[in-house]
Amino acid sequence: GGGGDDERPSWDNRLQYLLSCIGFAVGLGNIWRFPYLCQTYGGGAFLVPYLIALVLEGIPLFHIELAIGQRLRRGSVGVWKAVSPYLGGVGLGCLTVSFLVSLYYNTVLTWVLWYFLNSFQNPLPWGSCPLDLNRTGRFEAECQASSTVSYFWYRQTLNITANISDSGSVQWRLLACLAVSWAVVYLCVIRGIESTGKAIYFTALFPYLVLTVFLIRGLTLPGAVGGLTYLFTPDVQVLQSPRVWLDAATQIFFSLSLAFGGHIAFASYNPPRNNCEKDAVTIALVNSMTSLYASIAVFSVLGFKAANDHGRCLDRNILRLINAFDLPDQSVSRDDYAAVLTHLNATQPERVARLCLETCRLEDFLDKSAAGTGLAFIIFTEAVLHMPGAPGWAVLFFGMLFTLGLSSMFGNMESIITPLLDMGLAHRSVPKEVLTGLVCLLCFLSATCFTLQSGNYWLEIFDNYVAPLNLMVFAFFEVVGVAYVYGMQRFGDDIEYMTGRRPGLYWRLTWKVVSPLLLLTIFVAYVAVLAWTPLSYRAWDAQYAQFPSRQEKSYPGWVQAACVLLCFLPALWVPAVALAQLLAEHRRKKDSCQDRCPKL
Amino acid sequence: ISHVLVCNVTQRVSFWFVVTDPSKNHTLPAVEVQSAIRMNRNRINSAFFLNDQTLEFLKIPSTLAPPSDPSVPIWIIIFGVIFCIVIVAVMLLILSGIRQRRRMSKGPTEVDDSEDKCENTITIENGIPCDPLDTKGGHINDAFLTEDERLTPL
Repeated sequence: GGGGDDERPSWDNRLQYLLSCIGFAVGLGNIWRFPYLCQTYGGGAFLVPYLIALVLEGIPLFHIELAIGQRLRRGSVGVWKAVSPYLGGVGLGCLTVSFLVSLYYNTVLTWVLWYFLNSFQNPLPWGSCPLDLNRTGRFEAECQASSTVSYFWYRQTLNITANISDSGSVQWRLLACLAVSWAVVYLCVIRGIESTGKAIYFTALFPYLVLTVFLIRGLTLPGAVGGLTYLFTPDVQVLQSPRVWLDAATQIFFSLSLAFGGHIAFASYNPPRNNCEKDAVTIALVNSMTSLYASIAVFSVLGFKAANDHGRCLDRNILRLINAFDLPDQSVSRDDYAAVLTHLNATQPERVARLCLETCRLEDFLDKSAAGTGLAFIIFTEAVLHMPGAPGWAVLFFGMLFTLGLSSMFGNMESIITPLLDMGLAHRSVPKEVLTGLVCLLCFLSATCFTLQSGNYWLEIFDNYVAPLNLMVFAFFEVVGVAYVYGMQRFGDDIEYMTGRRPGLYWRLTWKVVSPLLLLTIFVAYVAVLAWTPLSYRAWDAQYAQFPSRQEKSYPGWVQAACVLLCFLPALWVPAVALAQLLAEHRRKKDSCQDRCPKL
Repeated sequence: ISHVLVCNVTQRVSFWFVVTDPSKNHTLPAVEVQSAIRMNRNRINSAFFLNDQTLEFLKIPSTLAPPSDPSVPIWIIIFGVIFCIVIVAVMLLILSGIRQRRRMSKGPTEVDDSEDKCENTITIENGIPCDPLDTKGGHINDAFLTEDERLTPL
């Protein structure tokens, strides 16, 4: 098959390789998952389980991937087949999971691209409700009941249906953006690392520039510092719950994009003698630093938004007071409000009680948090509306999200394309551009199901069920395969050849004992948590009695079956290939025995 | 100002008013006054140096500005630009790849043809064509030069 050493492409320089790995590891999760976890699990206290998981699980696994890819100079399928023919299923499973993840990951980029395209106008389209269909002067009922940003996200972007069984029609706007999204990915991946190596300079570094700009802007906004202190204040009590440790471990695992096969593919293009140990530690630390950096920027903007919402809540109450008690306009400022309210409560409590004032507490607004698409498309878009020069900030923000996701997509696509090239599926005369084009086309056609009106529900299913369990299974077999099947002695020799030093006690201990045990525990705990939580989703239903709250609906039977399949099907490659290999060995022994036996 | 009577004056600047018609000597119906105010809201606001938020007429909602609906939504324009750029870039990359491959496949075959021609006319010793000796004629042999230098000059 292909992948011969002299023909194998290589990186132009070490910086391209480092940036590619960093770009693959640093993705959308660093922006919208880590800050949410920090906020939910006691602010600064979350860093403790996070760092412990990084040291015991993240860095050792990462080092294994880089070292084995660099030594065996093959993609994930080739590497695990070379380690042991019985482990070939791990590579095929990684390929499958990478394919499924790239489908829905690029759909998220499609949404980001849609928002990016809509940011080039003032006022921003998600700042106001559209008028009623009859233009009678009333706003759309759905928009008035919820909020302008939610309406723009659920109705004008997704055009979402009320439940998952109602698929609706394909949204042509999203389909067009999906086509452009995949075209951009194809443009960058067209010649493998030759083209991604050039593109990565921009896509990996631009997000850091924008994060810095947002950090400076965010810290100068009113209310930002209050938000930062509230959200980062450590609450050590939270560490007693085991859920925190589980979430920290899984966050490290997915944050570094382990077990996708992408890092193995990137490392396989390295020169044979490259210090993979230093690379592994550097990239893992850069990834964690980026998460922290991003959460400071995100929290300062969220603090600003909370202060803004709190101020407007106070203003609404003040207006009600002024109207009811005939006070002069602007006689009560936000600071006077508390004093004036107590005075009025003392003198005329019945009139005050009849007014139905809202309770405005800053902590309530600060506690409103979201992860994932909710943070980016609802909360952040609303925060941006109130910043001076809103369209510019929106363009920067969505541009940053797009380049972040794009650099992760490069890793995903390489983990699909490199094994395919190594397996030698295509004849040597077929140019690489055709192969990458076919892969991108296949992915684009498969991803059109996410542009249906129920696409967001399906994307949540894919996000929750495809990656976690399968990747943990593959990672477990990776560690065990290298530490026990390949052999610590042989692996130590390889590392000495590549870096000049044998692996120290920390590496040997984590590879042989700590990481496999940790992975097994996390796997069991994750399965237990999944089994306990009912399979349900939150639907956006305008007819719901408590709209705009999202209604909790349970999945229909066939969808539940799909969830279970997605959870386990890719991992079945491992036993399937092992079984096939066993049968082939058995047949070979029988044939060789038949040759030998008559001679005896 | 005439023909405007005020009554029921309150502490806050708010009042009820009726408008009389001097020629017919009766008050105009409320509906007519309301529609007149709705049409001339801007003039009344500017007369008091107020706006819709600070001067409120009960039962007369302010007319909202019509939504700006450009004929071509802005996002389609930017979408078209990005799409064209990406398609052109992909085409360029594919064409340059095809050209590179054609050059590589033509290159080795051209070298083979010229080597065949050489073998017919010029002898090849150790793979090096003896071309330079035949065509270049008058070639200075460096070996002799160095020997000259070794001899001490007179």
